[in-house]
Amino acid sequence: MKYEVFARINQGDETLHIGNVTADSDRLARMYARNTFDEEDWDYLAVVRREHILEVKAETPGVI
Amino acid sequence: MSTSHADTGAADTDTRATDSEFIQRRRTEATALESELWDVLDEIPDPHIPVSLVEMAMIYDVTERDGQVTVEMSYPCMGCPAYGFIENDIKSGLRVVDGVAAVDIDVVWDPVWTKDMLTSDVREKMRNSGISL
Amino acid sequence: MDEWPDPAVDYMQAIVDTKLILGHRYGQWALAGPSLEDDIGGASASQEEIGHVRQLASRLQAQGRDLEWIHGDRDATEFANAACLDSIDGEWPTYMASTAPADRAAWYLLDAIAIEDLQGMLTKMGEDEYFHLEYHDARLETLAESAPDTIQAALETTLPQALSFIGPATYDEETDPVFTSGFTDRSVAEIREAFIAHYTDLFEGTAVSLDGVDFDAPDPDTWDEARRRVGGGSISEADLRQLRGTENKLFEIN
Repeated sequence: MKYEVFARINQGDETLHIGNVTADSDRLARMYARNTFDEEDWDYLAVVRREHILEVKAETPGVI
Repeated sequence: MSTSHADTGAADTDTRATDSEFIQRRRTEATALESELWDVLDEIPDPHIPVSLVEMAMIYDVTERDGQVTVEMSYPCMGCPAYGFIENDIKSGLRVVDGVAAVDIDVVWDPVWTKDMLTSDVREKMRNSGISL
Repeated sequence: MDEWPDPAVDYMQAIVDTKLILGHRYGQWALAGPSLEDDIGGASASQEEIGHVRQLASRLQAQGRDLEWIHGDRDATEFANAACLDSIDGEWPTYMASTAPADRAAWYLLDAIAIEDLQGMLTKMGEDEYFHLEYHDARLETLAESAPDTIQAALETTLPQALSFIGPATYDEETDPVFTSGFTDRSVAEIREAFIAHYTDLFEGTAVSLDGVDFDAPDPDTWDEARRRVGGGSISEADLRQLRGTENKLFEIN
C-alpha cells in the first residue's frame, strides 16, 4: 500500500507533505516513515493511506 | 525504571525548559581557567552541523583542579559515528592550554540531551545554514 | 552501588554481548532487506546498538572487565550473546525472527536495572529501542501473513534461546541472584512472563502458531549462568574477525 507522509518541524508550523512510503501495514508504514525521514527532528510526523485521501474538485452535475 | 520507555518512547518533557539554564549555570560558576577552557570548547565545531560543541549544548561542565581537567558532556545520539573524533578534538584542544596537565572526558546521560537545550540564537544560526532542528 | 556483585556483572556482560552481535547482524543484513526502508532502519539500528555497547562497555570496564576483551579480543565461546544470534541460517524472515526476540529480551533485561546512576543512559537507550521493537513487531506481523511457516519454524528455535538469555523460570524474587542483590527491580521470572505474553499477543489470530515453542526453556540444571544459554554453541570465527576488524586494520585512520 502507498502512504503519503506529512510532517511539521515545530509546533504551530504548517504541516507539509514531505514524501511517501510503500508498506504492507499501517504500523510498518509509521516505522518506514521514521526510518526514511529521521534526519529531521520532527514535532509531528504522520502517514496517511493514499486511498484515504479524498480529492475535492468541481464536476459537472448529472442531469439524469 | 518502569517498563514504559520502549512502549511509549516518551521523554520527560516537563524538565526540558530548564535544561538550557542548567548548562548556563554551570558555565557561570567557572573559574578564570575553566572559563578559558569553555571558550576553547566553544571553538570546536560539531562535525555534522556548523555550530560549536558548546552551542550544541553537548558540554555540560568543565572543571579543573591542579591541572587535571574533567569535561562532562553528552551526545544527542548515542550511536554518534563521530564519537571518537569529538573526544580527540576536545583533548587536543584543551591539552595545549597553559595550566592544563591532563584531560578526562566523562560522558553522562543525565540530563538526557534534547533539542530544547539549544538557545534561540543557535537555532537561528542553524536555520540560516539550512538545518532545522 | 559502586561495586556490582558478580552475577550482576555477568548479567550486564550478556546484555553487552547480545547488543554487540545484534549490531553486527543488523549491519550484515543492512543491504539484504526487501525494501530500502528496511535497509535504512537496519543500518540505523546497527549504529545505535554499537553506541549502546560503547556506553555499557565503559560501565563494565569500571567493574574490572578489560575493554579490548569486551570488544572481541577473546574466544568465541567466551561470548555470552543470546544463542539465537550465533548464526542466521536462512533468509530475511529467519533473520527477523532471530534478531527481534534477542533485541526485545536485551531491552527487558536492561529496563529491569535499578541502579540509580544508569537511569539517564537507560532512558536514552529506551528512546532508540522503542523504534527497534516497534519495527520488529510490525515486520513480524506482515511476515506472519506472507511467510508463516518460516516464521513459525524459526521462532520454535529462537524464542527458547531468547528465554535462555533472559534466564530460567526458577529465578524468582527469592532465588534470582541479580534481583536479590538489588541490581534489578524485577526477577527473571517476571521478565520471562512479560516476554512470553508479548509474543503470545503478537501472533494471536495469525497463521503463526506458538504451540510448538518450548516456553519452559531453559532447563535450570543445564543452564550456563555466565553465558546465559544451554548446550554450548557460539558465533563463528569469521564473525570474530569482523568484530575485531582484523581485515580492516589496513584502513584504520589514527
